[in-house]
Amino acid sequence: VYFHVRRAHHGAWTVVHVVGEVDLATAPEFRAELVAATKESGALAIDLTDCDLVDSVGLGVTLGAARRVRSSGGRFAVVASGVVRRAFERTRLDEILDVVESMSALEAVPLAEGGTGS
Amino acid sequence: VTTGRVDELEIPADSRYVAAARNFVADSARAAGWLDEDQIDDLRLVASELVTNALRAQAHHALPAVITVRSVYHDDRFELSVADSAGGFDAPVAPPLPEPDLHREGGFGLPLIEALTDEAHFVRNGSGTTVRVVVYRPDPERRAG
Repeated sequence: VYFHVRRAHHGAWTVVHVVGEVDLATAPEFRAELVAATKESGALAIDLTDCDLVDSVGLGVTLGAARRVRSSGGRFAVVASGVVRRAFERTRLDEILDVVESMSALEAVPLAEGGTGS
Repeated sequence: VTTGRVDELEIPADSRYVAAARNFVADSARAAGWLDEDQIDDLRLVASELVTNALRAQAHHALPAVITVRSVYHDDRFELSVADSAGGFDAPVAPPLPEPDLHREGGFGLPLIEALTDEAHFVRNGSGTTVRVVVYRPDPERRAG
């Protein structure tokens, strides 16, 4: 499975950039990278704009990362478009996560206390 | 009555082959000719969910096994079925999409399958479960004619 993940920084955000597909085979590496990134920063963004597919396994891993970040008062966002964004919408996860179209929209993502999460 | 064109792929019950199943389904969907790229992307996602479910069913069984992925395409519909040989039969009641909840761990697969297909049928086969989904071609002119 084509999958590559790397960590970068964008302003105050730690950004986990994913290339390829997140499924049952690649989710463990995705999860490990998110756990490591969570320890590094209080503002975590997952950039899925170069990701071709995130299935239910990947959605679960993403939600787990959001939970860990939010529970420590941090900011969390997903950057996604196309079929990946539709997966978040179809499962209504876009209602509890900040899902934005581009990296430039990250600035508008509020702090956890004022976030769309509850 | 039309008999559709059938493509079939057998994969080992191994997570490394989920991607192969997705690509197989995408190729079939392209061959059908009438699905656009968004619909093909959605079918790839559905394939991922169906095969992942089959792998999880199979994981409870020690027997080495194959998962059969079959696509049948017609002028008016695309059918995809995934069969495991896990022995059991676990037909879920059509699940309502749960309220979004940050503390949820999983359970997104079936709602995605329901959302992205027009029909989903869970049937017992000789040695396990077959899930068959159908996507209809949106074409009002055909129905009018």
